[in-house]
Amino acid sequence: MKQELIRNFSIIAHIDHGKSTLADRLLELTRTVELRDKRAQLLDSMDLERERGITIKAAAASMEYEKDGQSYRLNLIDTPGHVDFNYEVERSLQACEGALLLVDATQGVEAQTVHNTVLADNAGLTIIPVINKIDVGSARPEAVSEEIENVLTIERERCIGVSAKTGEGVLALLDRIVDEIPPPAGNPEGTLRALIYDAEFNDYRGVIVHVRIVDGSLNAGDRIRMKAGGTRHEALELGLFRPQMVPCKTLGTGEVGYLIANIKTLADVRVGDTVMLDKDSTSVALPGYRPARSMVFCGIYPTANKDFDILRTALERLQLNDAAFTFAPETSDALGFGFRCGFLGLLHMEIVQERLERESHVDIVQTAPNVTYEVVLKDGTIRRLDSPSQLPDVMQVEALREPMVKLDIVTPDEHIGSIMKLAIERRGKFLHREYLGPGRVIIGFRIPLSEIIFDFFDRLKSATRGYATMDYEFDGFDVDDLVKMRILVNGEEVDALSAIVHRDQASPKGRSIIKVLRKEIPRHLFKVALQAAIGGKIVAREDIAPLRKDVTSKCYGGDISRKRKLLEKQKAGKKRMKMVGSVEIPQKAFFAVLKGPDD
Amino acid sequence: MDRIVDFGPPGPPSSVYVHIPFCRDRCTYCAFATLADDPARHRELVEALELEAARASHASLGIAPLQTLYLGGGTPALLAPALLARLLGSLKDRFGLSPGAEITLEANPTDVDAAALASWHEVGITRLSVGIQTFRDDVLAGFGRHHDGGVARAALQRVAQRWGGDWSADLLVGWLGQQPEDVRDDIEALLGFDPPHVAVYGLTIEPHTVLARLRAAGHAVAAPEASHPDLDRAWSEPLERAGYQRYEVSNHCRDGRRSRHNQVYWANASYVGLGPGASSSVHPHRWSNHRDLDRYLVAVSGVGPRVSCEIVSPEARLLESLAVGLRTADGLPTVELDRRFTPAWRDALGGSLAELFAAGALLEAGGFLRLPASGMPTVDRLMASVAAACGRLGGDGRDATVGVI
Repeated sequence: MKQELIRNFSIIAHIDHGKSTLADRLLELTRTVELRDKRAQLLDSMDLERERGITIKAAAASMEYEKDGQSYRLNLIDTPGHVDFNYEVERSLQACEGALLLVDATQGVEAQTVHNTVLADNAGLTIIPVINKIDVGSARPEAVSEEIENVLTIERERCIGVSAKTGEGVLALLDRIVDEIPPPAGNPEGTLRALIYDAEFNDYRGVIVHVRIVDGSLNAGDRIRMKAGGTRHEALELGLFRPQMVPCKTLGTGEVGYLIANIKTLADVRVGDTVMLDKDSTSVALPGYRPARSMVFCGIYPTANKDFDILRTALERLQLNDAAFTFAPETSDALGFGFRCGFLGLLHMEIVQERLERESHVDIVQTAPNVTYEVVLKDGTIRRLDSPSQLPDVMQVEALREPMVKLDIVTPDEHIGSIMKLAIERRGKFLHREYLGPGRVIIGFRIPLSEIIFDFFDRLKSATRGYATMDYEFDGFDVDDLVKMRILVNGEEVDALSAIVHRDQASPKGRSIIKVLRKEIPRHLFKVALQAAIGGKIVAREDIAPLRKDVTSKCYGGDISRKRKLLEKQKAGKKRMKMVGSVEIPQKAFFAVLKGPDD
Repeated sequence: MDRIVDFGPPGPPSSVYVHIPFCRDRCTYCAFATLADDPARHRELVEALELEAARASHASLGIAPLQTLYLGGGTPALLAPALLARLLGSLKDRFGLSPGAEITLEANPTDVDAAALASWHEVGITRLSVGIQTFRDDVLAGFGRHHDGGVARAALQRVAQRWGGDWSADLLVGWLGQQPEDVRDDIEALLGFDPPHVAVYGLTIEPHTVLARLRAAGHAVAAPEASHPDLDRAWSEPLERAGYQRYEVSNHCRDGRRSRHNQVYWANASYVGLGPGASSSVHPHRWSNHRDLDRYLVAVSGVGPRVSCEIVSPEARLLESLAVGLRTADGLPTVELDRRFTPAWRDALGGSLAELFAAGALLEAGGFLRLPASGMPTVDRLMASVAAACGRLGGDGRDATVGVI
């Protein structure tokens, strides 16, 4: 395919603004897929993606579209739709020349819209603003185009209205893609440089690398090398996504497709890396590569210690498919042998946990998530802490630093007060506030990541009756007065429950953690004492009174097998319990401590 | 975990339960296989029971001359004396009767008149179990019971004066609105008749009962759980003061006059149940009969009345043994556990016992594994911990062939 006939673009949108539906319509109207092949939301291939209505992995589709007697190849690169996968979004955008900025005509510009537009702008993409759902009664395309102009500084005249659901306006949009998005630049005569913008693992084929050819061309049979990774491979198969994989002999400059090279593990393929010919040692890496860095951690333990190896195998399998997920063995006094796992963010963590449960059948206990801290030691060295239990002795510590984020919240203006209150409670510092249009504002804060990783979004939603949206980006580490809070159950420290908290919040946090634990831990045959301590000082204490009666009264001939079946059921319920000394702590408790009591 | 073996209970089954499903009315809490009384069908049922007994004695169950026979229901006292005599005679001919065998009959206060007592004595009943539930008229009416407090008192008076044999009275605790004083009133009234044996049952809302339907519709139907410990104390303490031994969670007796039949269940020994809905356990099987009378009648003369039958794995049997044995004051003789399951039973329970011993929730003393005196009200919680730590449970999920007995 001639370079000038190629258009590479992605769709950026806030969650639920109709990205997958628009992608489906584009595929249909270009006859890339027949209607009869259609599954709802063609590009979301994981069950989880379809269930949650979010895109986790990037996906791509090559379409043929004819305009004015000329056939064009339109490559749609679908980007992940969540801030956790920001790095992947950046890389996917780098593989494009244009982006469709999709905004819901009933919702308007949201936090993620702003965030993604900035990313597309930084990548130098041509942006076509698309207002979706114009067929819906409550659509307000005029107001939304005004917001787009005010906030995103894109002229309102450039907006195009579509209904991804009915297909209205989508053909006009295809024409504008051809007319406005520039063909890929790049030197077809140069030596090969291809950007890896995604990769996935397939049980039968090994790693499938998603590439965008920037310069030169890639031919089946080429000996290739990964610039940053340093590994060498043979390009066994190349092809296009239509959207299923269709092999071809060559991928030319500007093209988007896949590469299979007998690569056994995703660890050998780094998103953002450059593919080059092995014989060519001089070519320069494409800019922007950096290794994915976990920001959120939690402990994952098998409920039964004997399942440790099974869990390890399951985690290794997950990592095959998800290079951003990291894990390392750790030992907890309370939980035994397990793993400290690192994630890009909260959603990423939830996804991994869900996949682990679906795919591995190991019963796990997951501890409350924490962020990465930096500890500055008295001797000046700086160490990263993935777990509160790694905190060195207080005598050695000069300072503790925690990760900060820039947080943007878009909301109807009547909720400004409650949002300010929430953010300030969470140690947020107000940065700015602008009106998007009548009645809608965007508010910016600088806030510790630890304060928003758990239930912040839920609280935000309830404070704004579901109207606010948020997005954030990492913004360095700050020193603050942080202390480690220990939780003791019947006098025994449960390291997996300890947390790093701000000193000013230690007492209320301690009380709230203890309150939650009291609710989550069932009654025992003996009294269970729960304590929260900062250093040697107990800041909160509650007791769980012993169980006084639970016996069923009758037990005669016909009751015995019933009794056994009940025990079987209880046994299943207790799988998610972890014994700490002689106290059974349910898995939920480990996760619930950061959440605070429901109010 | 090491596999354990189940060598079975020490002897062949020598206990038979017979279920007579007929009742004058259905009580709101009752989940047993019962149906409205129809005297015209009594003979039909007795014939079927005779047939089932014949099948049982011909099958390789190895039933030994009976030590205990228990007629429960339903209301077995509804059977006319002649029919009752015929049934007992047939069972005796079929299985044999050990000298001094315990033969229990369940009866409602309404059924207990002088003539009935005399006839029961005559046909060989040695023990009566009288379902009093409470002396409160309003509560009895609410449960749909056929008697009131006056009838209950009169019946107990007759039993105490005229019945020479063993007897027991049942009380029900935990009804809606019940206060500890109410429990003490009932106990005091009952103790006035000097019963040798008292069973106290907490009201449990079983599925498919009137109370379960009411509860599902949002009505309060029982005393709140939080009040149960206090209600428990209101009967257990006066009984203890009066010299009764709580030898099982719900059962109390004086002078060692325990229910021999029920102890067979708590020892997890073998027993055979006859009649609709009756359960049986004969090593290594456990089975139960059709609950529906018509189906039972058809099946008993055809393929046999068993509706389900399973092979109980050694691990599941061990848990059963603990679950029932720990309900008794004596506990489980460890020498018997060692014999039945081999000493590997301790390993089979994983670390669970060690922790429970350490916490004082379980004792091993004088050759018995048992609960501390305070442990009876919470034995379900204890068993849940034991089961959770046990490697395997519930057998292989194998259903044994539903065989002809």
